[in-house]
Amino acid sequence: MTDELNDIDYLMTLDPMSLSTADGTLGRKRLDAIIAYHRNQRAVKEAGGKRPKKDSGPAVKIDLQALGLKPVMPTIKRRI
Amino acid sequence: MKKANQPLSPFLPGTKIQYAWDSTSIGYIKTCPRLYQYIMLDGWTPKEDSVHLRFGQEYHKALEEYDGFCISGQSHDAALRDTILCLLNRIHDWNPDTTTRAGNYKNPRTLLQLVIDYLDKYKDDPAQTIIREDGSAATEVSFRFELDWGPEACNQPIPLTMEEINRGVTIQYIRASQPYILCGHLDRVVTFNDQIMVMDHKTTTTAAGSYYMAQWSPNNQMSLYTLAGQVVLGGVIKGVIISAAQILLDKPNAFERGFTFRTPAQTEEWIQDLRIHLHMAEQYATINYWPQNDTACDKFGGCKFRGVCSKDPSVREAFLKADFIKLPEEERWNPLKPR
Repeated sequence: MTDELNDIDYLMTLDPMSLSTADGTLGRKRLDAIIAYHRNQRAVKEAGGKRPKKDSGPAVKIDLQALGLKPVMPTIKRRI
Repeated sequence: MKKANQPLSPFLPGTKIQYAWDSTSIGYIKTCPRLYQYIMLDGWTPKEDSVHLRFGQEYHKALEEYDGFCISGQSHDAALRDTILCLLNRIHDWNPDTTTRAGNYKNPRTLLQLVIDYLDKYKDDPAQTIIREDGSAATEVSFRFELDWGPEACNQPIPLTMEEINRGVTIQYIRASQPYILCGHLDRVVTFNDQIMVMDHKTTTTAAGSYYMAQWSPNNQMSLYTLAGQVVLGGVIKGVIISAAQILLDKPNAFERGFTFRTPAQTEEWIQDLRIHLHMAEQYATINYWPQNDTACDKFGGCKFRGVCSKDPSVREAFLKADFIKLPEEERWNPLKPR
């Protein structure tokens, strides 16, 4: 599992060459995911929600696997 | 030898007398001659990447590209997608320090949010971009025109150097006549309520209310843009639409538009005042001294050279070298550099 901020950061730092916009391509879906994320952020703020903090749970789940991507890194849970 | 794509110098050859001016350089000389000297003549620039400059450039470029995609026949969604693709292409390695206030407000994430919010909000923009004769959108419209006067140095003989005097040279040359040139770029030319207006995009972290909008009149940049619009587009421009985008972190970004108009008499007054400012700029260049305007140091959140000017003159060079980079001549701000 990764949190939503890691996912969108990951999408935004992809090699732009992998973001072709031709119909039906994976790149187009990735771009649409980035745009949808930001639209959702706007809707959350308009509804009075705060900007998600780094450690908060995702407001909108970005399905990286559906976008042909592996999760950036697994969350490390450590008991002290 | 001059490289093929190297822009012309905005200075008269062999002098520090600037003949080609844009709103930025006019703004410097009006604000503080020493500020003008540090930036325009000596080429000092802060060491850290200017987050504000990069953010503004990318925001402008994205909106310009969107207009181009729409005019080529793309739908809003397709144009937005291509705009974001181009933007990501340019900024994917931009990594400003988000622990600073500037970087917290202005970074790739907030830039994307701002561009998407703006383009969604103005999807059915009542201000329509004018289409040029070649079919392209009237965005980033470059202008360059001559004033009907020039530096006084053009009418006077060029002083002989000691080396020339020693060689027995007695003939003095007069510089070729060179009128002052005003130049720059208009973000967008639009029709709005049956009027043709210049539109200028601004980003801000403060509220774009009446206090914010009041700063544009009187205002050097907007007076020049009104004049430029009239010269380039044939006298039909009455003013500028300020399209302000307020960057907010915990609330949705906010967008406001305001208008600033100039009457013909106001434009005439601006030109008349400019004549005096350019005369003074030439005087400073002639005596090779650009005085401080110590009433301007706290303007616009504080001058970036304040820490230098506050030091004893004998140590200022050391402070400049510590905190600033001296750009090579070809990288310095040049109003004649094409975009």
